[in-house]
This record gives sequence, structure tokens and C-alpha cells, in this order.
Amino acid sequence: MTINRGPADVMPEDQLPRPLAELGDLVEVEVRPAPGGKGSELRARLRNPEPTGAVSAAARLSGDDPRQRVRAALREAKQLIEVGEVLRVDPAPHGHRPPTPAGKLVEFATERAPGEGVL
Amino acid sequence: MKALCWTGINKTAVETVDDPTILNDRDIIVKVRLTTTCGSDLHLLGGYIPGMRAGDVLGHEFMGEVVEVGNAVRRHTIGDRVTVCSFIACGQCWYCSQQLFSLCDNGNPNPALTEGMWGSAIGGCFAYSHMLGGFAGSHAEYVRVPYADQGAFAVPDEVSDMAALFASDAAPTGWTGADGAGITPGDTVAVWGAGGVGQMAARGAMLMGAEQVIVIDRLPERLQQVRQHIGAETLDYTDDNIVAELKERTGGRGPDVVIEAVGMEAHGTGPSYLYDQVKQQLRLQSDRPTALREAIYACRKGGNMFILGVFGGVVDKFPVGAIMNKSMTVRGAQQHGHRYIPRILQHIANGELSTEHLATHVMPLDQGPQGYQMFKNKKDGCVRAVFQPNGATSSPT
Repeated sequence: MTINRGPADVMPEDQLPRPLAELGDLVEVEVRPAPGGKGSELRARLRNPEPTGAVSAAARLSGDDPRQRVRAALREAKQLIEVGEVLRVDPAPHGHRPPTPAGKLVEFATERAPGEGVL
Repeated sequence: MKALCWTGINKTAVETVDDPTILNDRDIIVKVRLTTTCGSDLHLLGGYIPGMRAGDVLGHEFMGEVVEVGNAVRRHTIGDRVTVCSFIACGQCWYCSQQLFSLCDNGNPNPALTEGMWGSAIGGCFAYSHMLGGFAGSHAEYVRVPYADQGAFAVPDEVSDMAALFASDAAPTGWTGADGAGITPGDTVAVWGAGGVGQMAARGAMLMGAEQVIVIDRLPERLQQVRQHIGAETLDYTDDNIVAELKERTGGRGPDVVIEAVGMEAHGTGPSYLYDQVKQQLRLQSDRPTALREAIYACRKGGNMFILGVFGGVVDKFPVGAIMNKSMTVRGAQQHGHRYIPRILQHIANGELSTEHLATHVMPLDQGPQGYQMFKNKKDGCVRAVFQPNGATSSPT
């Protein structure tokens, strides 16, 4: 995760950003300057091995994969440091939502979206 | 409150929904005066952009009056008349600091969806599916505007509500294309698509110094608007061989800059259009690049292309050989509107930019479903259907 602030703003006095501190011993965290004046690179890695194979797929679907907590915490930390707030979208006004399979799929995807990603 | 909702593929309805509330300290609530259909909405309506849910409130191009402000809002007070950028950007991340606002790192609460599709998440957008954040849209009596100090802009007294409406999306999208294409004084610029965005890109190109601007479409009422209100040349692709005619008008060179303002549901003539239609309907390609191919082919050697029309996924028969061998530069973007809206409002105030003519059909929100049908099918010369969720209001001018 790259944050548009210097390392001293990302981890003042070596204090972890709150969302990452709340993960306790789940992760090890490192911060270093990003090249080209792009701020800081904040890295958080699981201390224990990542889930793999069928266990990983099941955990991702159920929302219990620890990587989802790490990604969400990194994204929240970035927003708090850069903007000062974590952007919310719900509750958003909406009309009638019939329980269609496509609608359920979108709902499921958005529930998982803060914790999923390429990295 | 009343809101126009997407209820399924090519279906909309006016429903009663909850009023929006302040969710973050940097939010404002805007009482919507005017909100308009946009060509990119048609991709949502038709089910070409994934991530829509029945009940989603539509609309991303709007202006209105501030009626509530969050605790951290500094630039707006209740009663301000504002136009709001359709893209939601924090103003603080590295991309915002580079004025690439549609790429904002923080404006999309559902980043994994676009990260999975495109490799990186872009910013959020009002009512542009849950892929771009799932924010409720402006075809409603009220709308919540996050990061309001960044995305809402006070409208000068000299600018009418209707003129300011199109400073929300059509004009800044056009400016994004014209500026991003790297137009230099004296250039010849060809723009595919004479809808609101294409017209604004053409006018932006002229104000940035282009010497000759040519807009291509098939709809006579839109081409007439281009000649009358934009001051550019026009070409009807159902009458002319566009590539040959563009060569004819440029001494055989082709345009220095080509801007594609059509997107994933392009129309055209000939076998390539039929091919694209069949492949898209069979879901063998997500987007129809008919105008895109022509723009690449027409561009002069070493020229620049900007893709402004919305594309979502993958296309077939993409002429990468022409791009490589002609040494073209290709760029694209959603709008970086925060960068351009102040100057656009000033251009309107100075009388250098006309936008009101785009509003060919103005109606109450209750007629939204009919407005979208009219807009989609280009009935009665409809260029844009504009809704008045709170009834007719008067501008200071």
C-alpha cells in the first residue's frame, strides 16, 4: 500500500496506524519511503502462512481469510492518514431490491470488496 | 423522497426511497435542481456494465442547492448553488495530487471489483454501479456528496442552473479528452460522437488552440448543434467515407488528434459493425469498438488518440498494428473534473462555452422512465433529457 505521506506521518514515533494495531500479532508491518516522491510504502504481512487451495477458497467465500482483514486494515489506514476519515457508502438510498440471484451476487461481491484485491 | 431507480435491464421506475444522510464529516447533502441522462447511463441500463442492483438510484450529472453540511466541510454553506463532479475523489492521495482525480485511491469503497477487472481500482462515481462504489445517484430529490470540498463547486451568479448542469460531467469529460490528448495550437482534431461529451470535447479543443475541429456522427440534430453552438465542422458517417474525407480535409495527413467520444455501444455501417453487434450480443466481446477502430485508422502518423467513450472490458479485432507502426500515442480516462470545472464555469460566464442547448427535453422526475426511453432511442431529436426532481426552479440569471 502506498500512502501519500512521509514515513513519519504514517507511523509517528513507530506507532502503528490504528487499523493495523488492531490486528495485533496477526501481521508484521514495515514502512519505507516510496521512490519518486510518491510518499511511503506501508507493508503488512501475515506472520503465519497464508491459507492455500480449497481451504483458502472456502475462507475467502466465508469472509474468514485473514488476508481480507489485512487488506481492509491497510485501506482504512491509508484513508485515515491521507484524508482523516474512512469513506462510507451505506446506508445509501435505494428502491425495492427483489431477491434475485444477480442481486445477491452483487451484494456478496460488495461485502467482500474491501478485503479482496490483487495483492 | 422520490428517486428514479434502475429496476432491471432497460427498465427504470420512480420509487419512494429513504432520504440520504451525512455519513462522513466531509459530506454535504444537495437538494437537486437539475439532473440529466448521460450516454454512459445507457451502458448501465442495458446491462453492459456489471455490478448494478435492482433498486439502485440512477444519475451522476447534476447541480443543486446545499441543504446540509458535515462538520469538516469548509468551502460550502447551506444555500450555496453548486455543480458537482460526477467522480468522487479525496483530493489527498497521490493521484489527486497529480490532478488525476478519476484515479483517486480512496473514492471507491469497493476497490476489489475494479482491481480484479482492470488490475487497479479507480475512484468512485455517483450511480455508476457497485463497481464504482455503489453511491446513490442524483435522479432524486436529494443526494449525498462525499468529499464535498473537493467535488462540489459554487456556481457563479452569471451562470444559469441549466448551463451549470453540464459543468458536472459532459463539459469536464470533454476537457479531460481535449487536454489529455495534448492538443497544440494549430492542430486538426477529429471527434467521434456528437453527444454532450463529444460536443464539449470539440469546444474544449477549440479553446485550447485547435485550428480545425471536425465532429462525426449520424444524427442530423446533433450535427446541427455542433455547427450552431460549438462552431466546429461536421461529418455524417452514413453519407461519407470518414477516413477518406478526413484525409481530404487535411491534405492527406489525417487529424493530428483523434478523440473517441462514443464508447462501448458504438453504431456504424458495414460488415465490421454487424460483426461487433453479433459478438457483443453473444457475449464474445463486452464492448463494440467500431468508432475506436476508425479513429485509429484515420489518425495521422505520430498522432494522438484519446478514448473518452466508456469501455468496460475487452474488444476484438483491435488494430494494434496501426497504433504501433504509425507511432501513435493513446490515452484514455474517465473525467478528471475537479481539475477543469472551475475554468469551465468561467468559460460559460465569459460567453465562450455554450452548454444549455444540450437540454433538448426538460421534464419532472416522474417522467424519468419516459425520458430515458426517449434519450436511448434518440426520439424527437433528444440530445439530453433533463429532470427537475424538485420542480421548476429559477436561476439568478
